[in-house]
Amino acid sequence: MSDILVETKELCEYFQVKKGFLSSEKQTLKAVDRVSVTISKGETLGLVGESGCGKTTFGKTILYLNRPTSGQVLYDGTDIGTLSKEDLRKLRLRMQIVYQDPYGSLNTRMSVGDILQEPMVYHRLCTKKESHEKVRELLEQVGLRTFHESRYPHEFSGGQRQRIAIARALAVDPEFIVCDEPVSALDVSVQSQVLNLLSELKEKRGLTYLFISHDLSVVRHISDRIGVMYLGQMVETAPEEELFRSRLHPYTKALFDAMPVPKSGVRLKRTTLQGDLPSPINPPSGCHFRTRCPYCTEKCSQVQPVLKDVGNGHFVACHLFDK
Amino acid sequence: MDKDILLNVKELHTGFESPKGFIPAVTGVSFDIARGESVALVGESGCGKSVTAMSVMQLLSVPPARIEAEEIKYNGQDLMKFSAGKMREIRGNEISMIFQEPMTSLNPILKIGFQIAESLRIHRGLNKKEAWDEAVNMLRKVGIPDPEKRVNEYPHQLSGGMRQRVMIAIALSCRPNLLIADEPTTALDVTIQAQILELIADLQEETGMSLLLITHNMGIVAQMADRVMVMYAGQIVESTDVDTIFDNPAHPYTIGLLESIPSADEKVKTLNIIEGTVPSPMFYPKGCRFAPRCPYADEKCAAVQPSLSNIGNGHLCRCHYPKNTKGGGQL
Amino acid sequence: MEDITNSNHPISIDEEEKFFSSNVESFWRMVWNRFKKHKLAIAGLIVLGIMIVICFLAPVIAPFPYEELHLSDVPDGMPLRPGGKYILGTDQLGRDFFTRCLYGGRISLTVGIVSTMIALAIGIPLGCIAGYYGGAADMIIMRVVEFFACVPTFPLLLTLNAVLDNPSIYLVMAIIGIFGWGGVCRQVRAQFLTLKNQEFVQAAEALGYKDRKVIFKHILPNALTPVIIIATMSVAGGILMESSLSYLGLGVQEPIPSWGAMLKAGKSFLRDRPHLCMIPGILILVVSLALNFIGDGLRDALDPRNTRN
Repeated sequence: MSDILVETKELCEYFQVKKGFLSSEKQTLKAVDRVSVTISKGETLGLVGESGCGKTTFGKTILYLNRPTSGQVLYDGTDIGTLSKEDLRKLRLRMQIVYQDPYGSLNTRMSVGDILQEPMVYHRLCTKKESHEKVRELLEQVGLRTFHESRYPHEFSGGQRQRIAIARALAVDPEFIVCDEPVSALDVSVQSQVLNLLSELKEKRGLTYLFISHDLSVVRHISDRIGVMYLGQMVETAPEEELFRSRLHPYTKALFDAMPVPKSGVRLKRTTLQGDLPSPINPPSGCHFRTRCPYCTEKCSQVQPVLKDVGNGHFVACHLFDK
Repeated sequence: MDKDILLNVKELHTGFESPKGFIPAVTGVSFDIARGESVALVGESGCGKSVTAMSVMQLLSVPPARIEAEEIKYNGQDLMKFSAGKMREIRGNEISMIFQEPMTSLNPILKIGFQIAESLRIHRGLNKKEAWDEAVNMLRKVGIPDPEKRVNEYPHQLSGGMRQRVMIAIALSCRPNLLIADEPTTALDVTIQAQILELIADLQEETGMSLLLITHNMGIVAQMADRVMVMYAGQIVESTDVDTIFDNPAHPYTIGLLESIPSADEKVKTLNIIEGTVPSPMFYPKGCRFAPRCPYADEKCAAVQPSLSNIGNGHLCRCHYPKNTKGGGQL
Repeated sequence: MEDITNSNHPISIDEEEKFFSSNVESFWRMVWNRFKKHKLAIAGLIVLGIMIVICFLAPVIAPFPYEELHLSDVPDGMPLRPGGKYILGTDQLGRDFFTRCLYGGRISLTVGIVSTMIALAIGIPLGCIAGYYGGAADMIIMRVVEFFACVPTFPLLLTLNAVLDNPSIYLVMAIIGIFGWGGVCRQVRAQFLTLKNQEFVQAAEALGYKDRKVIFKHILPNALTPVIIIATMSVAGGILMESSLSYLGLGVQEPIPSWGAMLKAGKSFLRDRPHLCMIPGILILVVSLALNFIGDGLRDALDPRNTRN
C-alpha cells in the first residue's frame, strides 16, 4: 500500500430535520452513514452517486467544513477532530475544495486578483509585493490571461469562473483538493477543458483529488479508484479498470446501464431499475437498495450488508457476494 | 421529398431587443420533421436550440423577442399567419411541449389530477367526470404507481421524476402529433432519466407522434433520435441521420464535440478539446462562426460564411471543408 | 499559410481584451447606472445635496448670528413678515428667520445622520454575530431586539425628559439611535443566514480564514444592500423623530434652533404669520421625501434581480 493521505473511519454526518412545518418532532437524515475510505497520496478517488446519496456532504465533512456526527477523519495520520481551532486553520492550507456552481463560489465584490492574492497574503505565504507575481503565475497556470487580474467574477463565463475557483484553491499550495462536481454546470466543450486542466495540475503539482460527480464517464476519465454511494453509504469501491471490467453491485450495474453512451447503434436499453430513490430520512431497512434491486432476497431486508473484499482491491456491500 | 412532412421551418430568425442592442439568438434555421420521426436538436447552452422551439410554438413574448420566418408550416398550414387564439388551439391539441424543470411548469396549488383533467376538458371537451377518469388513466400510462391515490396529490409531494411523468401525461393527454421535449431529463438523475426516456420512446411508438428532442447530451441523442441537427451560435451546422453523426461527422464542431466527451469505454490521458469559448451573439464573427475555434480554419473561413450544403445522401454541413470530403481543405 | 491561419483566429488577446473592455462594469458602476434611471431618486439626491451644502455652510451664508436678537425691530412682539432686511422675516424676538432655518437644518440633519450611525454601529455587529454564529448568541440578541421593539419610544422619551430636565441634543441622538438599531440588526442577521451557506463563504472558511475575516470581508459587503436602504430611510426617520420631540419641547433647547422647535415656536402666530410654520414644515417634508426617494432608487438599483440584464 502506498502512503495514505486521507482516511475516514466510520464517518457519519446526520442532520436533524423537522418533520413538518408546525411540528417540533425531529427526524434524522443520515446524509453520510458509516463511510470508511482511504485516499493515497497522488491518487484520485472518484465518488459517484445520484442526488441525495450524500457524496457532496461527504466531501465537505472530510474537510471538516461540517463537523461529523461521529467517526474520524485522519489527515496524514492526525485525527482532524482532535485539532484545536488554530491548528485546523493551519491544516486547511493543505486541503482545498472546488465547488460545482461557478456563480456562487466566488465573492462577486472582489476582483480576481484580490480573490487569489488574499489567501496568500493572509497566511503570510508571501509578501504583498511577491503576491502580485504569484497571482499572474496562477492565472497562467489555470489558462487565464494576466489582464484578467483586475476583472470581476461576473465578467467571466462559467468555464472561466471555474478556472478562477481552481486558481483560488491552488493559491495556498495545497496537496489535497476535493472537487465537488466541478464540471457538472459546464457545457461539454468547456467541461473537457476543465477536466484536462485538473489532470495537468495534478501531474505538475502532485495533487491528490477526491472527485465527486454524478457522471460516470467523467469520473472514469479522471479517477484512479472509484467509490459508488447510495443513500449515504458506500456500496462499492474498486480501482477504475477493475470496476469497469466487472461491476458487482446491482446498483452500480444499473447506474452503468442507465448511462447514455454517445455512439451509433446504441438504441434505448430496457432499464432494469424501477422506482424512485427512497427518501434518505427513512431509508429501507437492511440493504438500502433492496426496494429497487432485482435480486432482492429476504436476507436483504433484515441484514445490512457491509463492504467486503472480493479481491483486486475491489470491495462491495451486497449479500450476493457473501461467501 | 416524398416523406410525409409534419413540420417544416424555413429561414427562422429570432432575436431579442435589449438595452445593449439587438441580440440575434437564432439566425436562418431551416428544418423539417416527418410524421413519426424523432429529431434531436443538440448544442451547447446559448446556441439557440430552445429559442428555436419556443419560436415555433410562439411562446416568446413579442417584444422583446422578434420572430421572422419565411414559413413555419405545420401540416400544410402556416403557423406564422395564425392568430393567438388559433395558436393556442394548436399548442394544446397538435403540438405539446415539455420542459426541463417540471416543478415550475406545474401549478403548485392545484392537484395534479385537476391539472391533467383541465387540459382534457379544454382540448378534448370531456366533462368533469370523464376528464378525471381519463387523468387517472394517463397517470397509469406514464407509469405512476397508485394513480388513483396520486391524482389527489399536489406537485410538491412528488419526486422530480414523478413530476416529469405528470408533465408528460399533461402533454400527451390531448394526443398531439408532435411532442417538443426541451431538455426533459437534464434535472433528473441518470437512473430516472433512463426511465423517462424509455417512457417517451414507448409512448411515441404507441401513438406514432413525432418528437423534437432538444438536448445537450450526445448520449441521449444516440439513444433516442433518428435524425440529428447540431446547432452552434444560432445556426444549424450539421444535420444528418444518427448513425452518420457518430460514425462519420463532417463539421469540425461536431467532431470536436464528440471527441471532447470522456468515453466510458476507453480511458484516454488527455481529452481532445475545442479551444476557446462560444462567441457572444453580439460579436458573431463575420465569416464562419466556428472559425475562431476551428483547427482547420483558413482565410476563406474568416471571410465568407459557409452555407448549409448537401454533402451527399441528405447529409447537410455548414463548412467550407467538410472533413470527410476534404475538398481542398488542409491538415 | 501557417501565418495566415493564425492571424485568422480572432480570439487573439486584442480581440478578447476588446470584448472585455466593452463589458467592464464594476458592481458600483452598475448600481449607479441603474440608479440614474430612477428620476425621483436623482431629484432627491440633488435636493438633499443642496440642502446639506447650504445648511452646513450656514456660518458663511447666514446674514446674522442665529441667536442675535433685534428686539427693537419687533416692538410689539409680532414677528416681521418676509422682505427687507430679513429675507424670511424674523421670529417674535427679532431673530432672523432665514438664519435660523439654516442652523435648524444643520441640527436636524445631524440628528438624523448621527442617530442612524449609532443604530448602524449597534445593529450591524450584533446582526453579524446573531446570523453567523446562531445558537445561544442569536437567541439572546434577538430577544433584546424584540425587547426594544416592544418599548414605546415616545412615552419613554417623555419620561426621560421629565426626569432629566433639559436633555442635551446628544442624548436625543443617542436615544433615537438606541431605539432604531433593531431593524438594522434583523436585516443583517437575515442576510447572514442566507449568505453563510453560500459556497463562496464556505470557500473562505476552507481557506482557513478567521471568523472575523469571513464575517467582515466576505459576508458583510454582500449583506449591506438592504442595510444601505434602511439607513437612508432611517435618516429621514431620525429627522422626523427629532422634529416631533422638539415640537413637544423635548428635543433641542433654546436658543439653538431646529426645524421641529421652529415649528413649535411658529404655532402661536399661525393665523397672522403662517410662513413661520410652513417653512420649517416644508423643509422637513422635502428632506424626508428626498431621503425616501433615494432609498427607493437604491432599492431598485441594488436589487440583485436586476443584475443579469
